[in-house]
Amino acid sequence: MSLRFFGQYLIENAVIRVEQLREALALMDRGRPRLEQLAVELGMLTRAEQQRLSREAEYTGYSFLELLQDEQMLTEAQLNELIGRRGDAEISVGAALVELGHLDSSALTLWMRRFGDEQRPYYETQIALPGALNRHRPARAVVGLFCRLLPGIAGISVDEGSLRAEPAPDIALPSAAILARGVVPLWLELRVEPELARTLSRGMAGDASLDPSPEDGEDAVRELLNVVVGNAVALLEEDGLHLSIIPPDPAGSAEVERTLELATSAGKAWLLMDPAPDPAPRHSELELVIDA
Amino acid sequence: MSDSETLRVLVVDDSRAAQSRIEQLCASSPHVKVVGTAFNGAEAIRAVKQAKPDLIFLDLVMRDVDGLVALRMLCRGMPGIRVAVVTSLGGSSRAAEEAFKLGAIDVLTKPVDPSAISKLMESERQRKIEDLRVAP
Repeated sequence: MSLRFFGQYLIENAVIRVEQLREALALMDRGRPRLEQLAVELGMLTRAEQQRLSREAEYTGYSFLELLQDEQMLTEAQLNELIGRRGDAEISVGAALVELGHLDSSALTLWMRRFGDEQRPYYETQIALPGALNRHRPARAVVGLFCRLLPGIAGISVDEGSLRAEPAPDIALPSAAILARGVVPLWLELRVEPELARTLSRGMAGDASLDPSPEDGEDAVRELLNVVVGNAVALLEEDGLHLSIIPPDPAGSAEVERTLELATSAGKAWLLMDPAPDPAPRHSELELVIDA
Repeated sequence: MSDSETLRVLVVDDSRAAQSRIEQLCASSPHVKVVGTAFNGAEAIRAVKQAKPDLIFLDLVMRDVDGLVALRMLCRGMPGIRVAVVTSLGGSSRAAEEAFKLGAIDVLTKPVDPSAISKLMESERQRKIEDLRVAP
């Protein structure tokens, strides 16, 4: 199990159809204040700055919010205020479904309660981290979800009590890195002992007889990091912290502020973190050629 | 059972481990056949043209051409195509809403729930059979 979107949960339980969800999303969009307008109305951006970013969003396919975050045109407090103001004016997907007559309000209450019960374990993931990292919400979410999700992903248990600040050994280990960028960014690298990478690879593929190569091990570590950080992004979104993830080149490393060591049933893992990374390059230049 | 009643699946994910997981779930059903795999959005678009799948499992966070870009291109360029997004970001309202708006028929969160994948494949297969029955 994992963190889920309420609309998908309703579809899965045959409460609504996907077409009804799309209608609800369209209704939400119509009532949703545009971030670019709000930013100008609140005096955070000039009209010229807004127009430039809007053009760039259209050209690059990036959202206005992502561009604001990337270009650091607003302070963290301003970004939070902007997102909060927009959130205040939004209606939820459940409310939109009720308004459209696809769900009655008593059924909505019932399904929201069930959904909340199912998702609660993820929101209650609390792990104390050493030092200043404990005040870094994304870092806490990532480490907590790492412990909670790993058993389900690959049948590997984690000894949460083993968590300690300890440098990774100075040898080449299977590793992967990822950047969560946004209001409170985080650069992360995951290194694991080779046997853990192999167990991970077998567990993810669901094939205990597999003899994974070192490349398979690296691939599994990368996928684990993607799954954990993706779920952390969803978790933090509920707290109003908007992040997006990109898989960076591990070699483009940040300054590691802290390394945490964790013992699992298949070997040790280390999470290397930089809670204040440089913004990553927004786009790689790509040309997509599609045959007619 | 005829070949035409077999669900043809394309798996798009930049992780070999994630691809294998879905391929394994597909292999557990005699009515499902994996007709191709792709590691990014650009490969996916080429593979769709070649393999003509009934259902695509598409990851969102991929290097090179990512899943949302591919989803937009697939749904705009090939109306009626059936794409189920399988992503670690499935719990994010922002990502899931965007995927549904672009035309995804489902958004499943990683780590995948095998029963959700199996349920989706069976309903898509039934849908295909029904379409074949009503086709002139």
